[in-house]
Amino acid sequence: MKLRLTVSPYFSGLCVFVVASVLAIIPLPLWVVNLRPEFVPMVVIYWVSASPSRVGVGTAWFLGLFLDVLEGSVLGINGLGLVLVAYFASSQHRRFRMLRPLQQACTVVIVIALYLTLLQWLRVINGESIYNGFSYLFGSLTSGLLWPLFVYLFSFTRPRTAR
Amino acid sequence: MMISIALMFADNRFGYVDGIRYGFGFLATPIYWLSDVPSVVSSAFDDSFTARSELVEQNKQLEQKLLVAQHELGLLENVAFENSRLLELDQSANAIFGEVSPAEIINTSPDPSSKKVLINKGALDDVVNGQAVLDANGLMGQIDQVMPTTSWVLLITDSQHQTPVEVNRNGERALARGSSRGLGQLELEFVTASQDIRVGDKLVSSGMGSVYPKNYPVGEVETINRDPGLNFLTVKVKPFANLDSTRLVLLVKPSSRERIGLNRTESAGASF
Repeated sequence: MKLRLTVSPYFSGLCVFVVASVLAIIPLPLWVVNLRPEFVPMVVIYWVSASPSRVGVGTAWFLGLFLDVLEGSVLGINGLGLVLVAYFASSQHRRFRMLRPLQQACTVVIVIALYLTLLQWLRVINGESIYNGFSYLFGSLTSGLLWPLFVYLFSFTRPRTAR
Repeated sequence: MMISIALMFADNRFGYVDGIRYGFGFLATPIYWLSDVPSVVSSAFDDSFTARSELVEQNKQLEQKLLVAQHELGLLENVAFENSRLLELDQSANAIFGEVSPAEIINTSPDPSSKKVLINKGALDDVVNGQAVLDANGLMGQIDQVMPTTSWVLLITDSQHQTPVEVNRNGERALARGSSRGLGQLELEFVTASQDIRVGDKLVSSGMGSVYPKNYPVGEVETINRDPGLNFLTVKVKPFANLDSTRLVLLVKPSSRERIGLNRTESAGASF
């Protein structure tokens, strides 16, 4: 019989979120800053589409608030963005789970691009950031590229019965 | 849900949500600590694997620097003495240079166009909003958000930040704003063609707005562009402080008198 992990899903979820938020703020050299994948929205998409009954829009909002504090940005920006991401994921979770990995990755690119655009608008409106081209969108491409790997790694954090 | 977010935005403009930020700040501390581990490890490696000859060389250079610094300090003491006598006559309060305490930069803003850094001192170390932050070469910025063990510093190169400066040579005053293109430069605002500012002029903080101590070096005028179509000159300033590479910074403790008027909206050095 295979070794079975008996960790509570809440504990593993917390660990995943801690890792994602560390990756979200870890200092990077300037030339790769715009290529940083958006780990927290990816986690939200995965969680919500995998178990919409457990993780919903409210959780996403709190995670976003926490991310705002971490980034030192105006409170609520990431909250709003993640709420929309979570809403998309929960309303489309059946369809999303049916997609092939490549299609899923493309969807992730689109969703995260929208998320980043919304964030950029909100930041410019709040005078926190300044408009400089579309370089902020690269993060969505790298997120999409990492998505298959991400799903593979995530399968370890979930109870076996769910698959 | 959308309504609550809209409320958050409205609140944020007026600063009612600092308590929430402070509370979450406790939770944020371990994550900041974790994200700092790579750089701590790499600097520990640097420390333990430096060759002896390099250390000897470094030591020699540092000794020379110390000698020069001591010499300059001697000269400065005279000037400071004279200055303080003159200021006594003037009854000026701004010359008080508060105590400084060291801090370390542990993170930067993930958004490349907003110039902010995170330091490892917070409310539990008596950091307050609006405190000035310096490095060895010049002015860096001011404390923007205080959390329990960490705080965000708004750098002088942020496009929201204005620093009241004056020209070292003749006392011409101006406002230095962070470059609007996020280039890590400063731009002097509202400089008229009749003002006497030249390339190479050294700018120091003027102490107005009582956020920054007086006479601390800010930067050097790099270019001046006279466009006849514009009302004001375009003056670019290069900051003295190593805003991108330094790790150790100094926090200026505000004296009791300076603490008044550190309100974000009232001080001239604050962002709005």
